[in-house]
Amino acid sequence: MSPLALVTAGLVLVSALVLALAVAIAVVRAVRVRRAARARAVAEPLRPLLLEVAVGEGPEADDAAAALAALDAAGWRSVEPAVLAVLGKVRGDGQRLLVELLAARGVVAGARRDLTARSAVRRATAAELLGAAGYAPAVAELGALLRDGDPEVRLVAARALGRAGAPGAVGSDVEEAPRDAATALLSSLAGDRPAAPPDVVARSLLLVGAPAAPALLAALAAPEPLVRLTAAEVLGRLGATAAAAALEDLVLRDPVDAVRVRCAAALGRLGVPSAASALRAATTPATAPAVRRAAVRSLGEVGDPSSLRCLWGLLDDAEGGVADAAATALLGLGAPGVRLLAQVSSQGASASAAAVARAHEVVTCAVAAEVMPPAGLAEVEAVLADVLARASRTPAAEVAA
Amino acid sequence: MSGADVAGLLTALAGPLALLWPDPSSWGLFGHTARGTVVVLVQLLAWPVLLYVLAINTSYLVLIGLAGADMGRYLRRARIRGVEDASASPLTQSVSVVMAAYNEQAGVVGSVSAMLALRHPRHEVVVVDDGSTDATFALLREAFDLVEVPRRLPAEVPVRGAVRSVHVPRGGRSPLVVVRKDNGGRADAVNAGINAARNELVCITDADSVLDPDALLTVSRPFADDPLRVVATGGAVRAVNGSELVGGRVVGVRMPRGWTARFQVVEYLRAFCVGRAGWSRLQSLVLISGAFGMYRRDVLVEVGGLDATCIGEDFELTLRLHRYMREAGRDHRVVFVPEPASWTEVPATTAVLARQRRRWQRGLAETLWRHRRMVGNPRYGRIGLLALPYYVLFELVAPVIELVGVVLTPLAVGLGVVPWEAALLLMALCYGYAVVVTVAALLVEELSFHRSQRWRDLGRGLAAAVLENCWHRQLTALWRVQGLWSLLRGQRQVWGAMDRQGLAAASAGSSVPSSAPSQVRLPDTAALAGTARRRAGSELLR
Repeated sequence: MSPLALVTAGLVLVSALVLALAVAIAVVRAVRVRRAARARAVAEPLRPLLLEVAVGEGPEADDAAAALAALDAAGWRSVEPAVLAVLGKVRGDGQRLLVELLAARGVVAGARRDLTARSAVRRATAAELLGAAGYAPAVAELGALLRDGDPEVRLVAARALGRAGAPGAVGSDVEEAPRDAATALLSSLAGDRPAAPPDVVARSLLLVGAPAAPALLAALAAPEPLVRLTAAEVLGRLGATAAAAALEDLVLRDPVDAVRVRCAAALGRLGVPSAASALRAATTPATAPAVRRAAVRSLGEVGDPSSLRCLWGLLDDAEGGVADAAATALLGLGAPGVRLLAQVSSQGASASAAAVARAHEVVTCAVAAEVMPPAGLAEVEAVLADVLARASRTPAAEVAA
Repeated sequence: MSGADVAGLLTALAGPLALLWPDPSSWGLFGHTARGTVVVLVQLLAWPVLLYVLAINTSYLVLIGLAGADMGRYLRRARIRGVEDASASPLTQSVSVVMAAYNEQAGVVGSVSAMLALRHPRHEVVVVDDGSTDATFALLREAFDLVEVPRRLPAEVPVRGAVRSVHVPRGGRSPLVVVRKDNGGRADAVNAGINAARNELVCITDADSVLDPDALLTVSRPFADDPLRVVATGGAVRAVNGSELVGGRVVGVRMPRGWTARFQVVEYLRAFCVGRAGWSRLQSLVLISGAFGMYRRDVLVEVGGLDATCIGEDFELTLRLHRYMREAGRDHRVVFVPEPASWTEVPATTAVLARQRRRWQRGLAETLWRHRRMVGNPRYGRIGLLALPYYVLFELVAPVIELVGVVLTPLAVGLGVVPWEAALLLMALCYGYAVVVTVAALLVEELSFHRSQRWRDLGRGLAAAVLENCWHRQLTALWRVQGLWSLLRGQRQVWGAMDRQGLAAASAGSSVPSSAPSQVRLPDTAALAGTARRRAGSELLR
């Protein structure tokens, strides 16, 4: 073989490989484009039917559901992805009809079977589908999935439990479903390592809503800090004022600072005036800075005027974060807080230089950014007038003297 | 090809290739004549260079294979990712998007608008104007009705350039903060942004980057899924030149017109999308691009933010994070999220590209030198034993070896040391293998995210995969060696100006002034006070 033939052979070899890969790319693209076009062609005429079902109103919706249930296998294959995509986005009759349609097509039964499949992706996909369907009868199976060996499956199961256990879920006449979902979710946080990420569990508990409150209240006494912490967070966001007393107790006495922080934040969200006393007690220097910061922020949210003096005293706190939070909280208290800040800022109230600087910053930021409500601005003007009046009186007094 | 053909091919190959085999008896020729010197150099270097090329391309192929597996895994889980849940959850971790801007008047308004419009329940945008001398700030002030506020920024991470002022939209209409500071470089500006950021996660991006709508939700997802271990996530970075943008979003992926940009499109795909997915699969990701990275703010503060003295600050930060966490004995993960992506404008001219590549290579060398203790050190696990030795061997040294091959081959042919046929064969094989690697990356992209839809662009991508080997690759090697050389000579490194086309601004429907003033007068902050009432209030409180 001549050298020229050698070069040619080498180039042919490499070119063949490149060509094979290029052809593979083209084939992949062509197949995908063709499949998509075919699926579109089949699914497009069925789209109005799907919309009717999703709207879920009147006999037209029932007829559309019946038509979709009667589709042949090919037709159903093309419309199924669209059904699944719509599933998690509708509520009420539309959701019920879609779930009935999926049940009629055997999709729900298939998903329940897949919850024990060998493939983790299949188990998770099945859990996701049942969650999106808000399928209350599957709560027990989804709860069991929280003990799955695969963390991703557990995560999806935790997410699905929130929807399946929610009050509006399909088949929520299964009365114990929300309670069971809440119990399972909280149990998933017990133990050395949580079965699912706490924020996912908390989100699901929020979806379960008020029916989860008794389980959440009981969880405030759980030995695991993560359970107490999550329960406090969710109770605060649910506005469960019945939990205020327990939260007040924990904000002062829980041995774990992270739990106390969440309890303080929860009390702020609840906005119960009686919580102000416990929150003020949590701002003492002996408490951890993170807890103090949270307590101070919550005092602003609770909005109890009796906290004015406490917040004022914290404006020059050695812990910068606490002092900043106190200034912001005073702003959040409305007119009385703004008046105090303006007085401190104009040194009309006896305060340290740090307090003056902080009060000045927070008020001027709010004024300059025009986020100060009219009542607050009126307070600032009143203090300004007062200062100007005092300033004008002083020289005259001196002359008279 | 039959067995006899293969045997014939191998026999025929043996002749010319034997010329390259080291022959100690001829080494005495070194220095006597030019030909003798080239003969010795060829004999000493030919085989190591060939084996090196083989090894580096094979390693790329392995990474692409791993990336394919990783992307397949990612796509199989598309339906169970829970992005919709995260977008509506009040518990989703909050994100501060930090953008450093220096003379970005061409696209800063569109870019910031697009960042504010990203899907996320709790995110703010912090823009740090790093002493721009153009209309960057003036445009921002006008577009977002900014007012100056006397907000003090905490000094949690060190900042060199003094912070001059902080601005927010009037009436708190959007979660935007603009910090103006003296020029201190990109890393310094990002550090100021970290100080100004008030959320749990910090997303660092460039002022000229365009993020996909779900980018924040998806890239922050690993922090929620594994809150104790994930400290940083990196997103894919793609070249946006030529693509169609509407409202600051990429709606149609197109190939750019010039070959310089086209080569970078395939380069970005090979290295920044597919390559990093491969490293992530090996749990050895050491480089999160400065164009799109997300970090836990508390960890950023702990490590002291970005190193403003290092030109490769994004690589340095990721490495320092690994080092810090390892030395503290804290289990941690750095995760790559292959989709969605950040789209960035790549240099369209060779002059700008040359500056960028010199800077990248220098940054790589500087960072590896700073963290040389980690290289090959089992204390740092896979990072020390796998990723960093790889970076030294195949990223730091690669351009030097490539340049040696590029210079030596024509010399050897010209002086008659190696027959041109043999040289051509070997070059064809080497560059052919490189083409195979790139086309394999294109295949992985086609199988996974297939963002480009046009057949014409597929042809252009394949052409770029071949043509980049004709001059772009060699030029890149030269620029990278120049970057190393400038470091060795101790030359001061400066950020070159990037000639922006203003993609985001153009996409937003506003035209980019071609002759914008090079310098604008800074606004009189006193004049910013809007109403008499506010002036009175400010007066009182001064």
